[in-house]
Amino acid sequence: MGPSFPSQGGETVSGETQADSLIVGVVGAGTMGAGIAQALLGSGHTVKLYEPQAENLERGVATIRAGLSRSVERRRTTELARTVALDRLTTGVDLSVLDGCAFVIEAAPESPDLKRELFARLGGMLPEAVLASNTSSLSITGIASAAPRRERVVGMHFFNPVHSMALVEVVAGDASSEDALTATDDLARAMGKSPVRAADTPGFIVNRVNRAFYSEALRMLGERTASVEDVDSVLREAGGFPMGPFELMDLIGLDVNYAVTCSVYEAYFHEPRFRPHPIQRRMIEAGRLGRKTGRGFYEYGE
Amino acid sequence: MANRRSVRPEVVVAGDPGRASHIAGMLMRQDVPVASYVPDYAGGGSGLGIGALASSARVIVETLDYPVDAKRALLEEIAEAMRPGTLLISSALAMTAVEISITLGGYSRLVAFGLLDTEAPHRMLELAVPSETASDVLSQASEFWAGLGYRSRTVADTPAMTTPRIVCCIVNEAAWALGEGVASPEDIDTAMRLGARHPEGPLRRGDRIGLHRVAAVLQNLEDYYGEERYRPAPELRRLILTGRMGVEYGSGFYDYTASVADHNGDVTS
Repeated sequence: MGPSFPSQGGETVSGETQADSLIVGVVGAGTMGAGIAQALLGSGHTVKLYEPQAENLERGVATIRAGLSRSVERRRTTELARTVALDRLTTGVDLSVLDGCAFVIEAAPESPDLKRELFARLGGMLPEAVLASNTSSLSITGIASAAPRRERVVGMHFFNPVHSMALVEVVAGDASSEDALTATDDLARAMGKSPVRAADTPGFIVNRVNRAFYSEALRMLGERTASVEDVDSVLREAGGFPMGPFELMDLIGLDVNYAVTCSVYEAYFHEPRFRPHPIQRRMIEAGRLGRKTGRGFYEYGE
Repeated sequence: MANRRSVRPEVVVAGDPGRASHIAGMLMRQDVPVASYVPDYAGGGSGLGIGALASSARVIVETLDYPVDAKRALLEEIAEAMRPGTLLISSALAMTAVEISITLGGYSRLVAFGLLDTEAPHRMLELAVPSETASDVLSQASEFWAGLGYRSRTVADTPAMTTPRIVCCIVNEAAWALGEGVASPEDIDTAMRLGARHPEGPLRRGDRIGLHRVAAVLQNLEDYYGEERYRPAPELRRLILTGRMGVEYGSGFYDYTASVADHNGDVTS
C-alpha cells in the first residue's frame, strides 16, 4: 500500500569514483552530520568531516562505520566497497580540515550565533564553495547574512534517518543564487535523493504542513473523544498512512517533535494552527519521550 | 441519471452528482434496485422531488456535503418524504450525526459516515451515531457498506470524525503553504510523500476528495469549535469560487483536462 520509499544514498555504495563526485565538507558529527557523511561516502563522494569535540567526532565516525557495515550485512554493498568508502573520509577537530572543499553541508547544533560564526569563517576560507545549512528551524537568509558571499549560501534539509529518507528540501534564502541552488539539487541527486525547492519560510514544507497530523490528533486525545490506539489505527486503515500520529511521535521522540512545533509556532508569531498542545509538554516533563525512553504514548519493553 | 432509475427503488442515493451517481453505480452493479436523486439546488436540474422515490426505499444514502445549507434542505426534504423505519445513512463531513438527527426532527434510525475518497485503495470508512440511535441500526449500516466492499469502524460523534478531520486540515495547510509561495504544488506533494510518508501528496489528495468537501469539513470544525485555526486557506477559497474543485471538475490544484496522471500521481502535461 502506498508508494515505496527506496533506501538510497548510503545503501548504494559503489566503491567507484564517479565522474561527478565532489569533495564535500560536513560540519558536525551528530546524528544528522554522521548520516549525511555516510550517505555522501556511500554515493562515491570524498568527505571531510569537521567536529570540534573529539569525543563527538569519535562517536560520529563509529556511527558512519556501523552504518556502512549494515549496508554490507543487507548485501546492498560489499566489504571492499565499504573499505574504499571509508578511505575517502578525512576527519578533524579543526575547521582547516575543510580546506579544498567545493561544497560544505553544515549540520551543527541549531544555534543562530554558532551558525553565523561558522558561515562567516567558512565563507572567508572557501569563497568559491557552496555553503549549505541543514537547519530545520532557522532562516537561511539570516544565516547567510553572516557570510561574505550570501549568494553562495543555501539550505539543504535532510530527513532522519538520512540513509532511508529520500527527500531533501533545497531552501532558497533571499540572496541565494540559482547557480548555488542548482549545484545543491545536483548534489542531492548524486546522493540518490529527490530534491524539492522550498522558500525560506518557517518549517519549509514538511515540518510545516505535517503539524496538523499531530496537532489535530492531540486535540482529539485531549478532548477524550478518541484513544491513542483508535486514532492511530483509523489513520492507518482509513487514511492510508503507514503510521499513526502517536506511534510516529514515539518514533521521532516527543521532545524533538515538540521542539519543531514550538519553533514553527514562534516563527509564525503564535498562529493558532501551529499551537502546541499541553499533552506534549506534560509528557516531556514526565520523561515519556517515546521509544528512546521506553515510554511515550505507548509502552515499549526492553 | 433519471433514465437509470429503478421504479420502486429499495435504496435511494441522494446528494451531489459525483457522489450520488458513484454510489448508485456500485449498487446497480450488485443488482440492487436503486435510484439516485440530485436535487436542483445541488445541480440536479430534473425539477422532480425525492417524494415518490423515498416512499418505497428501505435505505436512503444522503451524500451532500457542500454547501451546508443545501445539505440541510435535502435532509428536510428526506424527513418529509421517507416512510418511518427507513435506514438513513448520511455523510458527516459537514455536520455531526447529532446535528443531522436534529435537522431530521430527531430521527433515530440514522448512521453518519465519514468517507473522503470513494476511490482510495484502503476501502474503509468511519461510522458514528447520534446518542439515541438504536443499536441494530449501526450493524445494518455496517452491512450496507460491507456489501459495497468497504470496511467500517465506529467512532465517536465528533466533527468530521478522525480521518476526514486530520486529512482536510493537512490539505488546508498545504494550500496555505502554496498560497504563500513556499513551493510548487508538485514539490509540496513530493515532499509530503517522501519526507512524511503520506500515501499521496496532500494537494493531489485534496483534488481527489473534492475541494468543496475539504471546505465543508473545515467549516464544520470552525462552526463547532469557533476557532480561527480551521479557517480555509485563501488559495482553497479562490479555487472553489472559480469552480476548480478537483478531479471531478477537471481542475483544482492541478489541471486534469489536458493532462494525464500517471501511477506515481505525477502530472505530465
